[in-house]
This record gives sequence, C-alpha cells and structure tokens, in this order.
Amino acid sequence: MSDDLAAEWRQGRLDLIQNLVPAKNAQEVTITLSRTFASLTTDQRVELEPLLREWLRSDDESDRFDAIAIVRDNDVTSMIPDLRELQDRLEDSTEVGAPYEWAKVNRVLGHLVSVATAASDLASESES
Amino acid sequence: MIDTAYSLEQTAASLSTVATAFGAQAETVGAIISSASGSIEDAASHWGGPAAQEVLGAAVDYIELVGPIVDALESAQSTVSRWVASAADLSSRLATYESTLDAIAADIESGIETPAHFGDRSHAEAMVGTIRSEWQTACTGFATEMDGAITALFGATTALLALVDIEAMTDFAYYARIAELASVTGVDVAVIDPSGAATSAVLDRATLLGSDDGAWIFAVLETSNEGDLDKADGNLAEDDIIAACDPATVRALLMQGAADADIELDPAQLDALVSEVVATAWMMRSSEEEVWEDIDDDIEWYERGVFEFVREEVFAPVAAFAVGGLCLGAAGVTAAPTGGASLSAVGYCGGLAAATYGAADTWANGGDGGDVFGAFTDPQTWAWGAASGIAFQGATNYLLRAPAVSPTAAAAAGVGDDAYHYTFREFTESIAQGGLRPRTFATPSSGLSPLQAQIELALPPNSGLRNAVIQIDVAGLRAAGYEIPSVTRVTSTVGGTLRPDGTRTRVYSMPGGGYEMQFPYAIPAEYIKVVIG
Repeated sequence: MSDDLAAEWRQGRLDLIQNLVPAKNAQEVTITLSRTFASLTTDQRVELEPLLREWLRSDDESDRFDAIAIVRDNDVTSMIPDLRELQDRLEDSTEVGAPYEWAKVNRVLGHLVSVATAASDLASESES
Repeated sequence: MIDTAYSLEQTAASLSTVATAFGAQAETVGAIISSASGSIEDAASHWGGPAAQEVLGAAVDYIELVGPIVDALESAQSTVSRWVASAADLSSRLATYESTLDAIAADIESGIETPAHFGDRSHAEAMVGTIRSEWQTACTGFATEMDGAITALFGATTALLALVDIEAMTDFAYYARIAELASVTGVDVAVIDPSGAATSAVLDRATLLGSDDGAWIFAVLETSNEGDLDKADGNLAEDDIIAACDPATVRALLMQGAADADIELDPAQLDALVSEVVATAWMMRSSEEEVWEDIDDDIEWYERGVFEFVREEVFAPVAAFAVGGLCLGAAGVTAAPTGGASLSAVGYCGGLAAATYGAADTWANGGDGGDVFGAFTDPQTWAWGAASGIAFQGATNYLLRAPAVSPTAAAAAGVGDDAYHYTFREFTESIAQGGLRPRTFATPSSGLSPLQAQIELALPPNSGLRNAVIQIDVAGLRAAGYEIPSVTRVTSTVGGTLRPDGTRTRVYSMPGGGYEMQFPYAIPAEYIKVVIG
C-alpha cells in the first residue's frame, strides 16, 4: 500500500467529517469518498484496498459504513472475502444494528457476486 | 448556580414589588383618565360654539383612546405577576439542585463509603446530567412563559407607542378644560393656547377648524403682565388679567405672536383680536368667580397630572418591565447550557426593576440597568426606551435559542414516530441503498419547506437549499432496540469544530430555533423512506 495515498485518504476523510458533519450533511462524506474513489486509476484503487480492508474490519461503524459504500458503488469485487468476514463478525455481534448491517453487506455481496460472475462469464465467452 | 438562584430570588422580589406598585399606578391612571373624560364630556355638553364643539369632540376622541392603555397596563400587570411566580419556582428548583450537587460532591470528595459506581464518576456525571436536564426544562418552561409575557408586554408597549401623541391629547384636553371654565365669561373661545411656543400649531388648528379669530386669547392673557409672549409658563394670575385689560399691551403681544409665527394679520383682524382679548379680560376681572384661579389650577393639573404622570410613571415602568423581562428570559436560558450563572444578565434585569424605584445604587448588579432606565425617564428621550426595548427583544430572541432541551421538552416539541432528514436529491439513491451515515442530523418537524429547513435547522448558507426529505421511522428504530437520541434546540452558530492541528472548522451563523436530533449510529435503509426527492 502506498503510504502517501493512504495517508492522504485518511486525512481527506477526516477533513470531510469535520466539515460536513457539523454542516448536517454527513451523507456527503460517504458520497464524496465514493466518487473520489471512482475517479482513481485501477492501480490507485488497488493501492487503497488495504485501507478499505482496514475500515471494513474497524470497530467504528462509520469506518465500515464508508468502506461498504465505496465497495458497493465501485464494484470492488476484490473485497468480497472481506465482506464475508465482516458478515461473520456481525453474526456474533450483540450490537442493535448488527442484523441490519449484516443484511446490507449481504445485499452488497449479492451485487458484487453477480458483477464478478458476469465478468467471469464475459471472460469465458471471450476465451471461447 | 448559587449566585443564579440568589439573583433570581432578588429579581423575583423586586418584580413582585414593582408589580404591586404597577397595579396601583394603573388604577390611579385609570381614575385620572376617567375623571378627565368626564370633565371634557361635561364641558362639551354646555359649552357653545361650533368650532369649539369640534375641538372638544377631538379632545374626547383622544381621551377615549386612553381606555385601551389602561386595559393593556392591567394585562401587563397580570403578566408580571406570572413572571414572579415563574422566577420563584425557578429559584426553588435551583436551590434543590444546588443541595443535590453539594451532596454528590461531598460523597466524591470524602471518598468515604463511596459506592463503587462513583469510582469512575459516571454516576455523578449522570446525576449532574439529570440535574442540568431538569434545570434546562425549568428554563425552557420559563422561556416559554417569557415568550408569552414578552408578547403581552410588547402589546402593551405597542399600544402606548401608538399613543405617542399623548402630548397632543393633553393639549386638547387642556384647551377644552380651560374653555369650559372660561365659558362663564360668555366668550366663545374656539382655541386657546397658553404657550407662545405652540402658537403656530394652534393657529394651524384654528385655521383647519375655520376659526382663525379664536386663537391666542389665553396666550396673551397669561403673558400680559410680563409683556412678552415667550415668557408663557402656564401660570395665570390676577395681575395678568389686569394687564390684559390694556389694549396697547394686548396689541403688542398679538403682533409679537404673529411675527413669531410668521403670520401677517390684517389690521381689522388685529383689532378684532385685541377687542376680544380685552373684553375677555374685563369680564374675567369683573367676575366674582375668579375664573383665572380655576384655569391656573387646571393648567397645573393637565401639565403635571396627566402628561408627566402618564409619561414618567406609567409608560416608563411598562417599558422597563418589558426590557427587564427580556433580560430575565435571556438569563434563564443562557445559564442552562453551562450550568453556570449569567449574573450580569440577571443583574441587568434586577437593575431595571430596581431602578424603577430609584434603587439602582443598592442593587448589586443593576448599574447598567439603572442607566438604561434613566433613558426612559428622560422626558426628551423617552421614546428611545421603546427602541431599546425592541432591540432587546431581538437580542432575546437570539439568546433564547438554547442548545439543549430535555426529553420532556422534546416530547412537547412534537417528537413522534418519525423524524426527517433534509438532504439533497442527488444523495437519495445512495441513502435508499445504504442507509444514513452515523452522526446524521434529523428533525422531528415535518413539512418544512427547503427555505424553512435552511433557516430553522441552521443549515449552511453556502451549499444551497436541501431539496429532498428522508423520513426516518423512529418508532421502528425504538422497537428494534435502538436508543433514540434526545432532541435539542438548533443553535444559531454552527461549525467551529476543533481539528487535531488546533485549527477550527468554518463557522457560520443562521437563525436556527428549530429542533434537531443527531443519530450516533447508522440508520438502516429498512427504516428510511424518501418522501421528497
């Protein structure tokens, strides 16, 4: 992972939170991160995967919320194993919101699997 | 809190005193006005002359306008009494909180038999939180009471302001009263002006009334002995009547008055006026009823008994009550967020109240209030008091936007089964898919227009109006086991969050005043519905 890019993202996200949450626009934090991620090159996206993984594993619900949105909106199929891991953790969680977060991750997984499957089918068709 | 309680007790005591005296004043004014009205109406009934009747009619109209003032004052008195009760209740609560806090502090500090849950101070902090919540509830209730009181008092103040021409009222009453007394001489005096300074205005009125010849008679009578219209002082003595029997003196005074008023009198008109004044003087001089003494008494009564009394003893205290109440309301609420004391504001109120009776010097925090009140009682600048009262109202509206409201108040504010998040249309798809991010703000108020939301929820002015509304199923969240955040009053200043590097985020200011709640957790899409987007 590029430390510079990851550090830039950490700081950028912190700035967004500090500016947008008091402005009563918390949702824009997530959406801005997701859109910024979309503008990255493939290599840069790969560089940020460890950071996304870190957020998905975080105990902070906000970290997970942003990471899930980025993964979902940008079809980051490489995060499928990490999402399944998160699902496992949520199954053991006693948090009130755990079932709902599990369901959300499940929906994202379903979407990502279909995307991955479609991509795989497309690749197979190309080979054949 | 001790000091706050003390100050509120003092304020309550002061207001109570003022309220009692205020009631007595209102009754006195009512009696005076009623008496004056009777006199004028009586005069109108037996005094001849169509122009004079018209003047008297106008005087009666003015007098009748005073009735609503009395009603407004009585209403204000009732309002002040409610303030006193509220302040006393608040004081009592504060005393209770204070002793509870002392007990907690003693437990913690002694370390003796300190229960385990005091170990991390969480219990104590919870207690403090509860106490503050109750204090805020009390303040919020008091602020609500104050809102009503302020409205009522400003209604009274507005009524008085509408009658800012009270001086003209007393002028009319004054002339009419003198005319009534002078009628025994058999002279039809249409308009009587005892003051050289007001000659022009009186002439204007006389012209409007079609009675040019009736003016100046008593102005000349009053100053005949001095030989100078400018020396009119409202005092009519026998020497004046004797001097006014001299046509040369009267002619000189009338010419002086015409020159002062920049009016050209033709010789015939001047002769007629001289004759009328001299005839009036002779008749008054020969009358055994010594009419000038009655007129002199009435001059004093009207000048001091109505105009001065109403202006300084009634209007000024009412304005002071209004401002004092505003300060008290501001003090009660601004103290809430910190749990500390807004001594200056409470003292300010106390100062205003105390100054009403000249006790500002003995009031610990009332110096500034005394100064303000001084402006009210200054006959030349009393209208400034009303302006400052309005300014204080605006300031109080700002200060009343306290940042914390207890759950009780929140319930009163209409926290029901739903809350509403105001956002942008472009975000709704993401929200519908993934829910709302932790730390989202929402309001229990439904149906706010984009502009209302911007203002009441203090949304940032630089990002455009929110054009989408997300409905949050609060009842469903509660049933699912989520803890529903308490509702707070929207503050007018937003931002300024401290960054790790020591700088602060941008600060902006909006009116605020609505209610809001911040969800610390993500709100699942299952409990969200896009209602406008």
